[in-house]
Amino acid sequence: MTLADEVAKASPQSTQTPARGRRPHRSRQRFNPSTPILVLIILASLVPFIWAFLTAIKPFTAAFTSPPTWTFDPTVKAFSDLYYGTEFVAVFINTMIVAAAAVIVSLAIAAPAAYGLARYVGSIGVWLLVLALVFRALPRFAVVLPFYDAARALGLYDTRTMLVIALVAINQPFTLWMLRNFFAAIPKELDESAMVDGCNRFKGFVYVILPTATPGLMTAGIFTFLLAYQEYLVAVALTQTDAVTLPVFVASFGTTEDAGLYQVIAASSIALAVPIVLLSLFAQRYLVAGLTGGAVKG
Amino acid sequence: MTRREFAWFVGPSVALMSGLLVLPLVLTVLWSFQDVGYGEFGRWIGLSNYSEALSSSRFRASVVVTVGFTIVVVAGQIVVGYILALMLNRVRRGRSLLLGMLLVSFVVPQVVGALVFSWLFNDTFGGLVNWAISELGWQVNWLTSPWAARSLVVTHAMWHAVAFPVLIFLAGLQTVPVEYEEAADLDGAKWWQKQFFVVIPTLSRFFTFVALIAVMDGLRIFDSIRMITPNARNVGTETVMVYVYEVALGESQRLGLGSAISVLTVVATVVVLMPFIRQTYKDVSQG
Repeated sequence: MTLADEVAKASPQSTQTPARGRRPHRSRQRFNPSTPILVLIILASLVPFIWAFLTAIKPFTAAFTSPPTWTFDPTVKAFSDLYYGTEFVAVFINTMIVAAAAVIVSLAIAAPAAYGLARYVGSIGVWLLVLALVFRALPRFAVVLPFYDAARALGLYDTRTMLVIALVAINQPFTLWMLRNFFAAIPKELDESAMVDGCNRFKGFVYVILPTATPGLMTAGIFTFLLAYQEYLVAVALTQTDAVTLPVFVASFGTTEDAGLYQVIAASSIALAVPIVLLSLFAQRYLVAGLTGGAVKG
Repeated sequence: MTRREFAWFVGPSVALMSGLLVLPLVLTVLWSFQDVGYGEFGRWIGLSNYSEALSSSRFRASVVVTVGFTIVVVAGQIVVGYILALMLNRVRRGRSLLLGMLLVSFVVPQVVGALVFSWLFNDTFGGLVNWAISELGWQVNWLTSPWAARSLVVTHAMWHAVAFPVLIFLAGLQTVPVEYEEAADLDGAKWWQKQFFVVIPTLSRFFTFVALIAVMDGLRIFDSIRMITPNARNVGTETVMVYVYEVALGESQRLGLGSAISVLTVVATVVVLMPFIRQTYKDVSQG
């Protein structure tokens, strides 16, 4: 059993059901003084985002004062400037297209391979997994400079296509490992019964295994999306104007000297954070399962 | 599964990784021995790039910064992550809400998180933290004095990534059999004795896992350094990855030198992770 399997088994989500059974006895639990401290720490971790939000909705004269201004008339000017005065919407749509394409292509290529690696017992499979682990650990620059050179030579620089290709390739080892662990958790007997019923390997994979692995595919999909949405280094190296994604947009914007834009930058940070935070809240179960079970984090 | 079926299943993925990961890595290795620019054929210059990198004081400084950063962040993540996990483990109601809030700084792209984080320490943006500590009578130039900038970068790394160790340790704590702690209780063990002699040893594999991921991410830190200290070189926060970026894509476009440094980091990463790679090999081949 690999470390990942062991960690996956212990996923905190899986323990919540037994906890429910203990509920009648809760009154016996003593008040725990560490809990308020924990809540304070976690709330403090949100301060940078809360502060950016306040900066975005303050009037210009109140936004950057020290000591801070606590009473002010909120305004949405920074958000409307962001919407009407910058490329934000176009960049947002571009990011969504790139991330969605990266998810689809990644899963289409990685799912069959991960299934193969979960079932095949030969030594080539072991070597492939170890090699994938090594590539998972390598710094981006080991492959990014050739990507940049090839993109220039092939006329693919600053295109979505190149970005999707690069993201799929760089995240393939991670996706492969994560899915492999999910497939390995599906009992082999299921394959066998599908084959007894007349499926061959491929039909069995498509009609029996894939539907069973839906939660795993969801998790891997969410992670691939998250990795594409977060990626900075690859995106900044391969794009300039047309295919720029949100992190690159906000980062280039974020180093401006123009004080008039600072509130718009704060607004853009919030506008970029909200969708991904909502996704992580709705998909928390998958996110936690992936983080604890994925062996190799992105 | 037969070998033939296996080949069909893994074929596309193997083709992808050979063409887009292995081949670029080979190219990077070749370039590291050449004097070469983008879109041109290089001239073979042997080990010159390597000797230039290794004798450059800027490169050596970036190695020291990277290694120091990694050590501090790995230790910090283990200690803080474990303490937070212990606290969270005692929470019954609202645990997933707390986890959700903890994950916010983790899911927001690192460059953007680093940007809003750095504003708290920047007087140009009102500097909330600067104001708070000035109320206490202190003053720190976070973005210009080297040690303050370094501690800021470390603090950011903790803030950004601590959700991961918390989740792993929280998962780990569920695996410690209740009987162990009960037995220790019967022997009259104190709380800290139970932690150090019962719980923590039981979780050793989880600690290894957290350390591994943190080392991997620490050695290739790039995004947050660029955002928090854009003039990293002058404030002493330039890491190896930031240096490669400047050499190969930023100021000088020196593909050969950049590739040589990349190869050095690849070798260093593989050497550091060797025990884990071997362990994984053993685990996987045993099925």
